[in-house]
Amino acid sequence: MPDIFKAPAVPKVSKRLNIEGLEKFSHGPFSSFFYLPNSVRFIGKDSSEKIILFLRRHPITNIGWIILTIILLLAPAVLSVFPILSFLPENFRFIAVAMWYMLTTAFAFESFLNWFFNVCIITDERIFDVDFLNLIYREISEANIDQIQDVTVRMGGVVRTVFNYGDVLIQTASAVPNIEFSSVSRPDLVAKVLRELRVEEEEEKIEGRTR
Amino acid sequence: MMGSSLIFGISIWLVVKVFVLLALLMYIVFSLVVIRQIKLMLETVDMGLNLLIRFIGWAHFLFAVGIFVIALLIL
Repeated sequence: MPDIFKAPAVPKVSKRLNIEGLEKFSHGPFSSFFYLPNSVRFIGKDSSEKIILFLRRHPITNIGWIILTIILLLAPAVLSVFPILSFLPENFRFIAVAMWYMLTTAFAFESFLNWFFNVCIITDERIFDVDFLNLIYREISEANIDQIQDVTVRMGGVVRTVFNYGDVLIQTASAVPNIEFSSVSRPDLVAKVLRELRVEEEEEKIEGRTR
Repeated sequence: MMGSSLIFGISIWLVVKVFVLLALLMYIVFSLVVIRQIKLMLETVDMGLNLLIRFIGWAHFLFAVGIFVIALLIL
């Protein structure tokens, strides 16, 4: 049966949120709170999809491994005062110190990669949580914006309050019931962005806007 | 000092050398896994720093190979 009336598809407008102060969070690739990053690509991204927020753990969460790395780097110099390796021949001592620095490098590099690549992405259509659990195992959780049912912000403790970071727990109606953005900067702002996006998604459904 | 301690006629430092070289070989394998990991990570999320991170990964691998070669020569 032929269609009597076919509503023209209204193009979806590009989303730009009306949240004050968001514009100032546009920094470089090491930023932990990046609004509208143009240079970021991720696996499975649609060509028309726009990244609204790019998040990773707050930089202060790196302090533990950075301090440990500094201690490990200084240890051979400090311990040279004590004759711990004096029983070893000179050449073995040199290799022992070289191996120590090698392991320290590996520890620091792995810790950096772990922070740099464990990211959370909010696009105008979906949310992603990318986790690298060990050397070669990755886990990507994804849900559509309209599947978000509840957003909870969890913040507590002196350090988290002082540096303004916390967890954002997102309950969804998708196959992944819970998505957690751990230790992200400005969790309240993240929750606000998600709320705005959900409202916009609802409006789009009502207005029949399509991509 | 080298070769002064003998166990069944084998110098203890020769045994230590073999273990050190084995450990360094394992480390080279680990550094190759790190390169593979970086590739996987960059395929997943690309932030425009691909070259720098790949370079650090390869430098780490070359560092491991270099230490292995030095150990092979001087031990």
